[in-house]
Amino acid sequence: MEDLEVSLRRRSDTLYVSGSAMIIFGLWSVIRFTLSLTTHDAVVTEQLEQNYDPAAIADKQVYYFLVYVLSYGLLGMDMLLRLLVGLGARREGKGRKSGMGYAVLSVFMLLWEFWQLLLVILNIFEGRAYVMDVVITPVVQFSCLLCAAELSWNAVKVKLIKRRLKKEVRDAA
Amino acid sequence: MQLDFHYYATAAAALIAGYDPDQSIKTGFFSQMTDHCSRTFLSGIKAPLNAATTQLMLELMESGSDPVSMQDITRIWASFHFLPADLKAQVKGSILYKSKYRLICGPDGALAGETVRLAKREGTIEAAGLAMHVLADTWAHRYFAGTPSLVINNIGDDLEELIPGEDGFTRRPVKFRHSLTAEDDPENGIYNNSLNNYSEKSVMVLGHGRAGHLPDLSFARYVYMPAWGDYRQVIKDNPKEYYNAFCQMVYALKYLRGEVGEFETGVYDYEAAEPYGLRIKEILEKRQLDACEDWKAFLKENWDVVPGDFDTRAAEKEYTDAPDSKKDDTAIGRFVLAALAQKSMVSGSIFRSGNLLAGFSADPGKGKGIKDFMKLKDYLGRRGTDD
Repeated sequence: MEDLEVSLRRRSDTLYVSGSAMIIFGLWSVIRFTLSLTTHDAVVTEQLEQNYDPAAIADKQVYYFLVYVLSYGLLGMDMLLRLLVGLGARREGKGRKSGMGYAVLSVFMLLWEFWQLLLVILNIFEGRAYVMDVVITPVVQFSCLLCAAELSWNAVKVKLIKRRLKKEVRDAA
Repeated sequence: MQLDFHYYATAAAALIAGYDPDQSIKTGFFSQMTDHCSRTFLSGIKAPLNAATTQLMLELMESGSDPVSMQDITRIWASFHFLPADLKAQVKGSILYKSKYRLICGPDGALAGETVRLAKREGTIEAAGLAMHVLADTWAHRYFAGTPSLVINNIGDDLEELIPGEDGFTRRPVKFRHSLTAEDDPENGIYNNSLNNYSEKSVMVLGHGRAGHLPDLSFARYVYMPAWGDYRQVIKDNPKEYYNAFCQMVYALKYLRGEVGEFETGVYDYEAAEPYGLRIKEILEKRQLDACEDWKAFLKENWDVVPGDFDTRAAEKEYTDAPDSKKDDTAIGRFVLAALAQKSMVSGSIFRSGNLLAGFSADPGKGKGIKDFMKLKDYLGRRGTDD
């Protein structure tokens, strides 16, 4: 039983840390996107111009507005998901009551991060990536993937260990 | 441990071991002196600074985090307050981590035995007092190391006090705060501890700073996760450990008096302490920050002995008034020699075990070493010993 308790403490600690990391990566995504809009505004404008279709949206300003709103909207959804997963993991890690919801969402985040990593690698091979994107972005994306994997794995393990401990306490009584 | 145990309880142990009242009070006095003999104190009486047995908070704050400063801190704290339990302890990790792990304090280690035997060879009351301080602290300060180390001395934020009740113990989370002025509040489970700045070599993670005064409170029972424990919890039962410390001191003092032939670790004179056991345990279990009055009452009830308050002025005057050639014959002079010998023995043992955290050590008996330790060499020469 002591080994189970030690394992529970270790995994709870990992859950707390990976939950915090999940939230911080989400914040980083928002910061990075905002920085890229401000520091690479010429590049962004050029790309928007290339993709602009007057037949779809007559007013260019509306087009830009919609692009920004959609982008931040998607980022917001990403951030919300990360908060749900991260805060749930932190709660579980601190021994407070937490349902299975965050654990299920964490598996979705894991697939999402994997997909993101594939896109990043694709960007590099298709020559669409900048110098920084070749090194830093894959490293950060891989870290996000690892974090999501660790979170999902430990979320499940913690639930299983708690169930086993409850059973052992019941049997001992 | 605090003054109540180091001074008064040690005096009580000496009385039980058969020392006369005057010797008993002196033994307790020099046990407590170990917590006072800082470089600032020694500098004030122009005594050798390397005999320092403690460091004031200001001295620690002025100390750097370079290797030499770290070694200096380790030499003092590991020699006098956090005697390592096992210099050969096995653990997985880097060489540096192993070195720190091997400095973890605990009772009944080889060095504890050596400390008492060294005091026997010294043959002075001052050495006996110093040895009792070191011995007692191996119980109170167990599980912590006398070197600044976050990976060894940090604790989890889930420390819980075990409060005795009618149906056993209830767990109550301890709330730590960092306050220079507010006292610990045992009634509400609020205690002061050192700040955590997450630095591996900060003095905030020296010894039991992260657990505050809890290890030094005789009534405290608590469960926590030490950083070195790999997520295992340890239970610290201070009343039980302090009683063991008391009985071990009785045995050790009997050995120092010559009543016992050999000193062995793991032996505690429960039999001699038994007539006083109930009263001692009552004092140890009482939830109070300072048990001096209770220990004084204990001494008065049983032996009609009333030690004065701990006051070093008379001893300081004796030392400063003595001519240079006679300083070693004063009480503080003898304490200085005992401190140098203890520091040399422990630092040398740590060095010879392959651990460089206490720096390099030379054997003063072989004519090597710095000026202050030459005093020890001269003293050993005059005593005619091979040590």
